[in-house]
Amino acid sequence: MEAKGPINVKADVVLDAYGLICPMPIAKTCQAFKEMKVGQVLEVIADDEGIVTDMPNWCSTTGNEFIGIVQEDDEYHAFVRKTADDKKTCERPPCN
Amino acid sequence: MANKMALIVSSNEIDKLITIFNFALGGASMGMDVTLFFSFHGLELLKKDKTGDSYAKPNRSLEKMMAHPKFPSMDKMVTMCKEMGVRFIACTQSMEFMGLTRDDLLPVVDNVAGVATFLAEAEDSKINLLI
Repeated sequence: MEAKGPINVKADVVLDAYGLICPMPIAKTCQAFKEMKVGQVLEVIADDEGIVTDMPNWCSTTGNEFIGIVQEDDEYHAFVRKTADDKKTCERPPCN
Repeated sequence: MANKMALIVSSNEIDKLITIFNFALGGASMGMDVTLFFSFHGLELLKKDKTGDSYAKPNRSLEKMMAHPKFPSMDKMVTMCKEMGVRFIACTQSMEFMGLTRDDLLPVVDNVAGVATFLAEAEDSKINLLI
């Protein structure tokens, strides 16, 4: 998949997932979203190429907005806006 | 059907465990209600007393790769699964076969149950996998 760019948006939160392999960039995105407000933008930095297709798919499944992804050397910078409430984005009570 | 995924963990071969936990974490990250049903050697991972290895190592090259910090350890994967609400069910029949009681298992186990419990979950799940 071709990376989109340039991205004219400023991230509210940056998640450094560089060096982490799948599914960690997505799992950490999900965890980061729990701490964010609806409307805020998250920038995820990763070197796992899977993020190029995983991030738009994760967004369409969870109802969040995929803004785009840019590649700089071996780093991918994915930008996503939280548009779904937490119920849809992996907010489940821990079970005992 | 609900937005659920049910996975059977019946082996302690590390390549299978990594695949299962990858799917479990991915599913939970995508808002799915994930249940892992542990049977037979899958239960090794949940034992409190890990005197031996809790998983079977298939070969040395994979073992060497797993030692690299970019690969999360099984303990880390289990912890993250629990943080994200993945449910762990231990199969009572397998526990009998393996000589295990509830007290032999780590507190990460949500409950012990039989086949009807798993099938009820499976019937309601969009995705069911035996890896």
